[in-house]
Amino acid sequence: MSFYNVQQARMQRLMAWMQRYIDNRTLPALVLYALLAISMSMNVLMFLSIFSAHFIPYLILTTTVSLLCWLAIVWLCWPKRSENLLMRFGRFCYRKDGELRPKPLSKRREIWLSLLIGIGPFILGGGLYLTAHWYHRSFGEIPPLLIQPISALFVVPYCIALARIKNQADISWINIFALLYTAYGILTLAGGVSLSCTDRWLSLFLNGSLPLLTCILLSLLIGHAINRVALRRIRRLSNTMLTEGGEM
Amino acid sequence: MELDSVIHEPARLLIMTLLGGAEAADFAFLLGVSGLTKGNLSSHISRLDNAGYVEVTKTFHGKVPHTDYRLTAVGREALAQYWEQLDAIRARYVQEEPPRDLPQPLGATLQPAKG
Repeated sequence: MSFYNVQQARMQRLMAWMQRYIDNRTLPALVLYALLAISMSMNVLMFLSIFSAHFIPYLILTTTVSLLCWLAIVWLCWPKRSENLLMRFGRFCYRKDGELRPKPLSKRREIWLSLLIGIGPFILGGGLYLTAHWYHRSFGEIPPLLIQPISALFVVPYCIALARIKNQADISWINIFALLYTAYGILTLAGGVSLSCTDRWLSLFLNGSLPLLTCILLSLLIGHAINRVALRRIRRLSNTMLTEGGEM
Repeated sequence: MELDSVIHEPARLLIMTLLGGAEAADFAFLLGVSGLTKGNLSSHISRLDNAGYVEVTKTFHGKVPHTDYRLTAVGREALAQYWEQLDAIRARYVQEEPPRDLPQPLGATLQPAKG
């Protein structure tokens, strides 16, 4: 009879790995990430060229590239015949695996998710601004090194809330990102990681945007690796269930 | 207590479990993951479809035909009930004494030789 216990446990493991597989299909997000990263970097270079170099052709070039990236993002995400190009690209990437759609969220969770996505940037931006402002008034100018740990105070709980509302698997790329971003903040405070530069604006970019972009990239890549592992586990579990289940 | 014979078959139990873990899956996914042959998978799915446990949706992605499968509410309930029934059988078996004609455990029959 203990066979059924084992079989039931296998089924539960199978469902858990399926959830991990679905939540870590990160290839379309990686494309979007590349466009966003280029666009953000161009924006930073744009500011640098205004405030530091005053180099007009450089400014025109960075503005054009940034605009093109944003247009590409809008084009990819714009719905065409009930789906967008990014979804089609996702299907193309995973055509060998086949298509699997996640369970839909409840109405209540959908409302919470829309709210969180809608007000998220204001919470993050506002929180960061208010903390920086408070620091400025209390201790003077904020050191660029503290930008990342302060932003982690807002970014990490936001990501955890997002993952919980989206019913994400325990090992999903959002949770991995939260973990990496926290670890980076702790290392920065401990003095292990510091990206210093003489130019204040570049220093702000290095300590603010670069850790964020790196952590997102790493978590998406780790997510993709987990997706591959999950698929192998699902196949192995299915195979075991079929071969051993035949003796039921 | 009778177990649902449609679900009790291992391949169909696997298909239902796979569909239970997602909103919908297509034929390619089920084929790749289960390791069944196309014909075998088709026949198992049509059996589940006939029982009302699985819903089949045929669409086109551009010009390519695409078939999606999803567990119906009846199917989800049947799967849950199947495990409840198994649990009940297991509980009854644990409470009752095992029948005497069952073979002895292997460890009891194979005693090490003395001396």
